[in-house]
This record gives sequence, C-alpha cells and structure tokens, in this order.
Amino acid sequence: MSAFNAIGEEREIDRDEYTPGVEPQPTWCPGCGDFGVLKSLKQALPEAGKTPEEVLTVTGIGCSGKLNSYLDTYGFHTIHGRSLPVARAAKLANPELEVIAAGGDGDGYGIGGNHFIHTARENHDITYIVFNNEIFGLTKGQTSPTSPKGHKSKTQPSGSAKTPLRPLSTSLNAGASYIARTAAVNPNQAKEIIKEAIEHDGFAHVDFLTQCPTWNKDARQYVPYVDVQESDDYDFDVNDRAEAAEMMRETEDVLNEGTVLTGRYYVEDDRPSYSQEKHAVGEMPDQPLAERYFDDDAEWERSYDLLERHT
Amino acid sequence: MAEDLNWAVGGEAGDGIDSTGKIFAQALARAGRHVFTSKDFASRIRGGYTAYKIRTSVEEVQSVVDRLDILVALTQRTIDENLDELHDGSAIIYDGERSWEAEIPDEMTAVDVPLKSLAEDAGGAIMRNIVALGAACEITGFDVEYLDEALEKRFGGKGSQIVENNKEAARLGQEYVAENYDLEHLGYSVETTDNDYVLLNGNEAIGMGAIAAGCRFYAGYPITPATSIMEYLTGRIEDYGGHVVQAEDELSAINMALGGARAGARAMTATSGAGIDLMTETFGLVATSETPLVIADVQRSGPSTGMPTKQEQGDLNMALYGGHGEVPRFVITPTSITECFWKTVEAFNLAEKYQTPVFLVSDLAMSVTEQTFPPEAFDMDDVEIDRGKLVDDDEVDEWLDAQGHFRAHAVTDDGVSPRAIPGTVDGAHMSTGLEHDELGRRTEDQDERVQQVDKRYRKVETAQEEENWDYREFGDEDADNLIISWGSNEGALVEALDYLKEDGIDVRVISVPYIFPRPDLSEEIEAADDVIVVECNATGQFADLIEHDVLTRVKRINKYTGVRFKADELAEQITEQLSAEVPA
Ligand SMILES: Cc1ncc(C[n+]2csc(CCOP(=O)(O)OP(=O)(O)O)c2C)c(N)n1
Ligand code: SF4
Ligand SMILES: [Mg+2]
Repeated sequence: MSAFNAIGEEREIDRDEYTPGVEPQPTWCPGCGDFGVLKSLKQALPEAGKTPEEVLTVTGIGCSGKLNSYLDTYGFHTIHGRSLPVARAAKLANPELEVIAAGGDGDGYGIGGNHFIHTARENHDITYIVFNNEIFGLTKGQTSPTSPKGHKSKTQPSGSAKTPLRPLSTSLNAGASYIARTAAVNPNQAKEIIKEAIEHDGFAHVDFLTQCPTWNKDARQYVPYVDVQESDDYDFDVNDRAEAAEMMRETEDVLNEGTVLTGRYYVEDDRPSYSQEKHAVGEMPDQPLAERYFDDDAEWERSYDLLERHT
Repeated sequence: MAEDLNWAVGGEAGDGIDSTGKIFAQALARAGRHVFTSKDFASRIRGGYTAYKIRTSVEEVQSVVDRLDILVALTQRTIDENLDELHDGSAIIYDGERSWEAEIPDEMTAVDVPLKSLAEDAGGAIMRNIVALGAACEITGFDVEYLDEALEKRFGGKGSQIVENNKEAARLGQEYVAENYDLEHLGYSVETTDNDYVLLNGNEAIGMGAIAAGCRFYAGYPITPATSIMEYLTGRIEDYGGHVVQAEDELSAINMALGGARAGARAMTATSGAGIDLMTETFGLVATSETPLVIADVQRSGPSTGMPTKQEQGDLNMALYGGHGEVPRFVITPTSITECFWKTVEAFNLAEKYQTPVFLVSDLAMSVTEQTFPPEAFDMDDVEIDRGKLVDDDEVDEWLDAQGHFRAHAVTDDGVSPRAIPGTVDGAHMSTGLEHDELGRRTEDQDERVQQVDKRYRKVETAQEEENWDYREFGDEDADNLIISWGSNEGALVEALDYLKEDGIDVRVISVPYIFPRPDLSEEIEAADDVIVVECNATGQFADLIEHDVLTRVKRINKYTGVRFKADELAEQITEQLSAEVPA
C-alpha cells in the first residue's frame, strides 16, 4: 500500500485548494469572527508549505466546529469537547501529518477542559485553535467558561457568578510550549500567529478572539486591539516563563475592562513532545505507527516470540 | 472425569501470593500438566485476604471445583475462608513458629513447617513461600526440580545467587516434610508428561491477539480487571511497531483510539465497569464516522463501583444497546482463553472490513485465570489480516464523484464504503458524527438520512451473510436437555457434563460467542424439552434475548455473588432446574 503519497509533496500550493468545492460558502452569521480563523488558516497553511491532503483538521461541536466543513483537508468532526484526544492520537499514529485541532471556548475550556490540560502537559506536536467568543454560540448564547463575571444570558439572567477561566495562564501552567492570542479583527497578525503555531514543534495553543455579533451583542468586537509585541507599552520576553505569566495575567484582567491585548505570549522551543520523549526511551517506533503495516507476505514468525514468553 | 489436584496458597495482600502461585503453576505446566488457576480476593471478612488456586491434571482442566486438597496458609483467615472447600483428606501447610496459633479441624492433616526459619537458612525470610512450595512438592510427590525453571524465570533478573537461594529454600521445605511427616496415606501423587504447554490468562490472550492482528495503537485508562491488557501490550507492542498510551480518562482513551484509527493504525481500547460508561459517549461517533475500532470490555461486578475485583456478566445490554440513537455494531464474547486470542483477531478484521465499532466482551474470571494450552492453540500462521476497503492513491479514483470529491460514505450494495486515510492523494474528505451525505457533508435531507442509516445497517446484514456467527457445541447433540451460555461459563459447563453423565443426565451445551449478530437458535430450542440459559448476572440479559428471539420462555440459572460458576455446583443447579417448572 502506498497510502501516504500526499505527505511531503513539494509544490506550489494555491490558497484556493483549501476551499472545498462542496461547501465553499460558510453558513456562519454575517460578521462572525469565525470567518477570520478560516481565512487565516487558508493563508497560513500554503505559506507553511502544507498541501490539503497532508493536513488533518479535527474539530469539536459548536459554530466553531464547522470550520473543517469549509476547509478542504482531511476533516474530522468529533463530539463536544473531544477534538484534542482524537487529534493528538492521529498525530502519534502518523507524525508526518499536519494536525490541527479547533473548537469553541465551551468545547475546549469547559467540557473538554481536562483534555486541554493534558494535551498541553504532554506537549503533543499539534496546533490547537480555540475560537473564543466568550459564549456558547451554537446553542444560542448561554454563558461559557470565558464569559465575564456578571455577564447575563438566558441561563444566568442575574449575571454569571463565576470568574472567567484564564485561557492563557491555564495553558502556560498546563505546559503548552507555544501560546498566543489573536483576534479575527486583526487578520494579518492572525495569519502570522497561525503560521507560527503550525510551524512550532510542540503543543501550540492559539486563543482566537472571535466576535459573535448574534449572541454576544453587548460584548466587544475586540477593537481596538493592541499587539503586545508592536506596542511600546509592553516589554517582556516570550521565552521567559515568569514574564510571560505576568503578561498573560494582565491580558486576561484587562480584557474584561475592554482592552484587547494580543500577540505571542510564550514560546518554548526546545521542550520535547510526548512522542519525542517516548522515542528517546524506545517506546515509540521510528516508523509511523500507521505506516508500518503487514503486506501480503506478512512475516508471522515474529509473533511466535510472544508465545515463547508463556512457556 | 479428570484426576485432579486442587492446591492453593493464601495470605494477606502483599505476601507475594500471586507470584508464589504462579511459580507453582508454571512448574506444573513445565511438567506437562494442565493447570487452571483462579484468584480469591477479600470477601467474607474485611481485610486483605487473597489466595491463588490451582487445579491441575494430566487432562485438560477448564473450571474450578469446590474442593481444596492442599492449602498453604500464611494466615488463619486463609484456613477459615476455605473451610467449605477443605475436606478430610486435605493437608494444610503452615508455619507453627509464627505468632498465630493455627486452628485446623482435627480430621485434616496439619503440616507444620518452620517456613520462616528454613527460609532464613536458605538466605532470607522473604523466601518462606518458596519453602512452602517445596513442602507441597513433597506431599504430592512432585519432583522439586520442576520448580527450578520457574524460579529461574521469576528471579533470573535478580542474579544467580538469588536463584540458587530460592532453589535451596524449596529443597529445605521438601526435605523437612520428608523427614518429619509420613503423608503417603493421603494418596496424593502428581504424574508428569512430556507435553509442552503455554500458560496464559484471558487478558494476555487478548493482548497477544491484538499484536498478532496488527494492532499498532492502544489507548487506555487503568481499571481492574482490564488494566492487564494494557500492561501486557506495554513493552511488547513496541517490538512490532506499535505504541500504548495512558490517557487522562476513558473519554480520552476511546477518542484517542479513534484518532489512531482515523490516521490508519489498527487501534483498540479496553476498559471495565465505570470506564465503559464514559466510553459510551463515543460509540455513536465511531459508528457514524465509520471508523474501525475494537473496544474491549472486561466485565466486572457492577453497577457503579460495585465489586471491582469480582466476576459478573452484567454488561451485555450495555454492549448491545449502549449509546443514544441506534448504533450499528458487532458484539463478540469469547468463551475461553484461546478464544480471547482468536476473537480479538476476528474483532480487528470485522472492524476494518465493516468499518464499525466491535465490542469484545470478556470478563474478570477469564482475565485472572491462567490456563495451559498446547502452543498449537495459538497458531500464528492461521492469523489472517483483512483491512477491508482501505484504498490507496490508485484505487481512490474509482470512488470520486463527478467533481472529483472522494465518496467516503458511498452508498454501496454491501453497505461498505471505501476508506482513505489522511495522506492519501485525492482522498481528502470530511467525516462527522452528524448525519451526512456520501461526501461526509452534514445533511438533514430525509432521503439522504434514510440512505445512510440503511447503508450502515446493510453492513451488518452483509456481515451476517458473509461471516461466521456459529455457536460452539458440547455434550450430546441429541439430548433433550439444552443448556445455553455465553462468554466464560463454557469451561465450567463442559466439565459439568461429566458430573451430569455420572448421574445419567445427558445434555447438549451451546456456547455462544456472538451476541450481535448471533446465531438463530430456534431449531435447537424447538428440538429440546428443557432449555436452560446460564449466565453470571441477576436479570438474565441473555435469556431475555433468547426468549425474544424464539418467543418461548426458558429456564434460567443466574449467579451474581461475584464468583464464577464452578463445574460441580453448576451440575447440581442444572439437575435442579431440569425438574423445575418453566416460568409462566
Ligand atoms: C455532550 C453535549 N452536551 C451539549 C451539547 C450541546 N452543545 C452544542 S455546542 C455547545 C456549546 C458551544 O459553545 P462553544 O464551544 O463555545 O462553541 P461556539 O458555538 O461558541 O463556537 C453545546 C452546549 C452537545 N452537543 N453535546
Ligand atoms: S451564532 Fe455567533 S458564533 Fe455562531 S455563527 Fe453566528 S455569530 Fe458566529
Ligand atoms: Mg463559544
């Protein structure tokens, strides 16, 4: 079987190749921030030299989960909260694939929160984009883990009693090795950050602010935004965990006051991924798990070794 | 009936009971004897009682019985726990120098051996259990040399001195009994043969089957009694190009296995009890995305945390119906340890040929039982791999629509669609748990919905026609009494046949390894006067299915004490049921 010929193909890649013939027009509401994620991916993937057929995009459930219906790659739409286990396992089974996981704030920080923490901790070499609109979009505007305290919704009519989850700080504490925040309203930065995330070796987490004009009307459109790398007001070292932590905290604090800070927050280049750690101790074979397969004249002799141990 | 010897070692958790028992079992297997082992965990009294029991014979043994001939008791409780099974001719080996005063019924033979002192003489008190093994050898006339290889296997890694010390400990135990006791009147003897056997348990057989079947990715979360599958694979599967992942929970474990399968590796997960509940969430996605996946459920006693170290066959309905909506699936229930191997191989082939979840439902009893088999029972040359309609770059072309899109869920006559794994040129497609059309696009179109549901169930129909779903049969084919069972009760039933025959009762045993699809038993049931369904649960989940299938009431034998059926007990219950009324 020659199943992986699409991988590592060197050729010019047209951005349009990523637009599926079958569903070229997304059904998101006009003005939805989700368009921004799609656009940045369509730009970043060809720039990173990836052809559609070597990419696997795994999504969760939500408006955000529709992403891969509009992006022509190998797409897998999981159930609510489970994109990360599927994505990281696919990467383990075939490390030569470019694996991107994506989903909403409810999907990734709520119902799938445990997977988020552990995927970060294990530093799997995948990209994870969280469409953070600070509410549940698909189910019509309920409170999400990132909704600000006091945010009113049909399920929390007197306002949320909960302090919002801190996506960046959580990610850092859990162990992600690339952490950034961008916003749909800042397409240039978004593309650059997504590209960096794809190229990063290790778990790259992008908290992507995606406005939901339909259900989060009173919320910000995430303008004006500030790029912490470009602004003279901020000076910190993205390779320094402590400085990054402080910058993240401030970013999370001020978001609810209306100041939208974005940019790269933490980059750790030399931390081995789970797969590399396992490879180093001989528990991860050289050849991709999905590739090393029996051909027609399979060498069965070796399986008898298994039986030997039981004599 | 097999001339058998029933031996056990018992004490507290932490006393090395398991490894002591296993050394003796290995020695017996090396001596060309069959063994069938079982484990006792704390039950009647609170605390850490545990025992390893061996039934051994030159003939095949496949059940436990209610009789214990030789007991190595490290605690009084070991004796108390087993009073029902001990008999007048039983010999009990214990250490009279230890602080506890052994209370042994007068009619039994008390064999007081200074286990600890002799072990110290050999090099360390830690070897007291080995001294006891030597003593047991003397009582049974089993040559102590047979222990040597097992000791080498167990302690070889710790250096030759340790091995030698252990051999010496065994000999000191043996000599002590020889010098101080005359036990020939007990009449125990252990015949040996030249046969070669392998010794393994059900979970090892599942793990071995998985590797032989080309499984390359396992994701799991530890839970008794499924964990030993994961532990078996870890450290072995790597040699065959695979990998084992310990996930953060079962939600993740099954989704990781799914992810590995999507990427093209043969993948599986295994769990038990509460773990299967968590995994249930993902059954539907596996089925609708048409991903091949093997999900093993090593049943334990439920519900909730139940009795985690106890036997039960309570998950049949879960395996058949678990998950919302209607989920096409196959449910396979291996009936013996060898079948754990073969059905695992079959599960992987069915999963890939029909792109469905396959439930491999085994149970605690099989998972902890070590049994001997001739190596030919696991003939690796008979393992065949069928990856179904997996297509490569060339074959993809046949499955593109007019616009060049890959039809991952193509509606076909047999229901099976082509499968292109990521990295295949021209195979890119969407797959989702949402209802979808041939291309994987979500749809709520009524016709497309019906087409896809029908197509998925057509796979089951195709499999029903093309694959083997036969039952296994034992006893007298023409008998009027029909016993039906599923899963691990087979061995006990087969041995119960001997007891029944002694009483002049002929029975036909049908042992069913396939629950869905399953064999049609109408004719067999029609032909019988009495039909009894045997299973380890309270409600008779399989009996309900059979009644539903054939529209007749059946008699039932249910056991839900947490302990598996024993051959002699089963024979008694069958006799009782045969004269009972069929439920109205
Ligand atoms: C197990 C489960 N519970 C609930 C739902 C219903 N549901 C679908 S999407 C969603 C929340 C979506 O919010 P988010 O993840 O933020 O995605 P968004 O729509 O905002 O992009 C919920 C609760 C579901 N699909 N599955
Ligand atoms: S509901 Fe909100 S998140 Fe969903 S598509 Fe509309 S704007 Fe976007
Ligand atoms: Mg959201």
